[in-house]
Amino acid sequence: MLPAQNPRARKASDILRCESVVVDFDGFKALQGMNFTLRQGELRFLIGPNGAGKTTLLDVICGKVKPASGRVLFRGEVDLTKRREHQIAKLGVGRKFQAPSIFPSLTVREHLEIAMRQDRGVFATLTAKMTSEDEDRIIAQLKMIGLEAKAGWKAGSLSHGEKQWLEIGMMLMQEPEVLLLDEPAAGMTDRETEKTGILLREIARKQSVVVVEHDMEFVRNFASTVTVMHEGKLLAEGSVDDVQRDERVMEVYLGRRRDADADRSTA
Amino acid sequence: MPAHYWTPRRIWLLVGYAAAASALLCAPLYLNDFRLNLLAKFLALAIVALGLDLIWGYTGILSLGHGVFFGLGAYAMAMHLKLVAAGGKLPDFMSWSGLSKLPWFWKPFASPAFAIAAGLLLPMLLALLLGWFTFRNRIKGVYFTILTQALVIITTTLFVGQQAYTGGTNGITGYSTLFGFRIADPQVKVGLYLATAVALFAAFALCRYLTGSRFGRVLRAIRDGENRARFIGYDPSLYQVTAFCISAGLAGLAGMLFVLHVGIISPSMMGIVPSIEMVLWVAIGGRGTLIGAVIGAILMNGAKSVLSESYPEVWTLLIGLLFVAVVIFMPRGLAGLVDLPAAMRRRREKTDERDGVGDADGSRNVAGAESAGAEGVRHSPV
Amino acid sequence: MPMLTVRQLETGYGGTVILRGVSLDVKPGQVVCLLGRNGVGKTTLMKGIMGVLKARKGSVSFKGEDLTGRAPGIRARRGIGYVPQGREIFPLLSVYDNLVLGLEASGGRLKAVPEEAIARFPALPSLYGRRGGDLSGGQQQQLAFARALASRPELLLLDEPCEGIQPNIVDEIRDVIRDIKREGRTAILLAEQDLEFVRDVGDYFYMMDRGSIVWQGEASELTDDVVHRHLTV
Repeated sequence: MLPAQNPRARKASDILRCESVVVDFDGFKALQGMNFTLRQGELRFLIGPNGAGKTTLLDVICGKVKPASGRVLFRGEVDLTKRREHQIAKLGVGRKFQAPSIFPSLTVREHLEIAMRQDRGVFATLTAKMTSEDEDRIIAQLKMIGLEAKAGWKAGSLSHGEKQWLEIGMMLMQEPEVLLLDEPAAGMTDRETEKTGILLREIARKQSVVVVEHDMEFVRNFASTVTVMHEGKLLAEGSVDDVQRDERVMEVYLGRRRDADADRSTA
Repeated sequence: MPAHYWTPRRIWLLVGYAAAASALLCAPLYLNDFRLNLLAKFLALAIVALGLDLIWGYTGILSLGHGVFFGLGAYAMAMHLKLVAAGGKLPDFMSWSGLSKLPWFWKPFASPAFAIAAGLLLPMLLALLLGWFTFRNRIKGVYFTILTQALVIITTTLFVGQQAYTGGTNGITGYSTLFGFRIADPQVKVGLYLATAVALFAAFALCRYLTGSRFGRVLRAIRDGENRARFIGYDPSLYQVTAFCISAGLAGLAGMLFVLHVGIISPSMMGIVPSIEMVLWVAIGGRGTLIGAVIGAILMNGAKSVLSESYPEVWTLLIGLLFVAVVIFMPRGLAGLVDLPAAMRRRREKTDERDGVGDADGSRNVAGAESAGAEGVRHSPV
Repeated sequence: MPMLTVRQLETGYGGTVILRGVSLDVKPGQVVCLLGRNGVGKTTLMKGIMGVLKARKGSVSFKGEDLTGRAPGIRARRGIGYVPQGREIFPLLSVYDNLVLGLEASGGRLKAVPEEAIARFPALPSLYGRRGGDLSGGQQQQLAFARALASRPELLLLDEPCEGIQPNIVDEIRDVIRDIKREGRTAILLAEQDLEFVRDVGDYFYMMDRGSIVWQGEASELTDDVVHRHLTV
């Protein structure tokens, strides 16, 4: 039994625990009783072939999709499936989607400024003053995402990788406890990918991160624990080596369909 | 402001603004009565342009109906002036239309304080109503613009139709004193000019504060990506309504000042054509820069004044051509000419895709599908 | 002489670089398979060949003619049929209209949808009146395929034609591909993930990873070792 599946080995600090999550899209079961546990301070990679349900799992955790059954425990206390998206965001779960969507005409610094944890009302923004603590936090964040030198640049002129880092930086300004990232390295150059991996490791020192990825080299270089999904279920979990040697994982990546396929899809 | 705020660029801009302000304040010294009066009108219209830049340039919402807000302010002031001129008797156009006593809603305008308050608040209230119902329901873009046009048509039709109450197509004219001063008196005119100039400075300072604050940054974020702004926790409709109301208030203020220099307000001055012209000033001057709106308003109206006298047909042709030229070649307007090298760089970074959409939705293959080219400017403009 | 020649193709979306110097050849009548995990750039390569994405560097030649920089419509008329991932049939048009639109690529040569295109998908005629958007995924896939065949292309670009489709229709589509291969008149560039099928039908293979071709060879050279190295974790 893998450590993650052994209840006695489960540490007290499980920041996220998905239990038997089922998601049904009009007959198509995107998640069929998915179990997933994330410990605090982990950097977990979530992989699996097309249609495995990786993005759907993240959607469930952040509240974008409501499951038909099952629950998602945050910090062992709150069931996220009972909360709405913005409430979950306030609780400390940040989600970053695939395509970078930053504000092209705002500068890098301005992005971080408006992403700060603060009152989002009109009056508050009309009267807001930047304190020196705010400045310090922004500079610290700029350093972490490697954009200190480009703080005054308009985001529209950043490279693709830099835009992704800016978005991650904006997420971090919200001080989330869990970060859910959808293919953060996609479309990046080799050097940018490397920097992204280092950034994610850095983030994982204080926060917990789940990364959905397809780039296997990225996974091999930066993952400690990998969760493999297939057909809406947990298929295998362990270190990169464990997963590489797992026969079942090999099979699903090579497209040898299992019998379950026949009644799962109504496409 | 920390010391590093004062870059050479910013210092030059400040010097520029100070020079322009001085030039405007000294205008009575070097302009004759007629030209001073024209400039006063232009400055009033520049206030409308500022408000429009706020809602369009910075928030990304096009209103083709600002003539209504301008007109409401103008009518509020005109009503007061007319009552003063009538000296307690019924205004002439009402007697001609067969009314025997002053309508109830005219009565409060005898008080200048009420008239000024109404001139500011009525447009803002109207904007609040329209904005609340449309932005809350996520009606934006072209549909909102069409609604503003509908507003213009409804309002002008109403004013034209209710001749007895509003003076109909003739509008309201025939007044001569404000606060006991004779408006036609040259010294009073200078005073009114200076008041208008100061109002413009105040409006500019207000807009500058708004756009430079966190509020302004959120506005621009909403303009750039409304959903994205929503996703980080801001309610775009609240910001859009606020910007819309402020822009309406500024237009109302402009209307009140305008009427003091012109001596008449009629429905045609707040109709579709003036509303569109107002947008053209901002577009040609350069939206999203504030100073562009002011320059655009003054220059375009100046040009119109010169051309309308000599070549009236040429004017509409010219403004149309200019608009097309600006949209194609100088999307950032005249103010954008200041940043020409950056603009050339922007051109070179245009998008690769033919279908312009990319794989943002379906394909698992690659992320990072962007729909627009990069904005090449490195440093934020003042 | 190769039918399709791609040399050092580099392209991407917006500010990204996805394809880095990709070169490949497809001979007339050949079935060439593009292998690789999700996200390696197979779809980007197809789009680059079809001209949907502009080439930043490199070239695409078809039947000896340099098509780099030409619009996708021109490439379709030269004889390249494209079945994109996600089908992209016209949801508001009827199945019949969708098919007939496929004739545009023949440049007026063909006046009616060829019998053989429809004969390959017997399920379609009964659906002629239905709106494209009302079809199931599998039916849409068949429609997209038939539409591409309507203009009798000499090269077919098939981007994961079996993804997300129910198994029995997958089998039908695979039979169609086998038939086309047997007739030998149409070359196929096929992006696929199912290794068994690909080994069965492919003549030549290109393996992609991170935007480049990392391996190429014939069926006999496609060993388990190569497969494990590039296709699994």
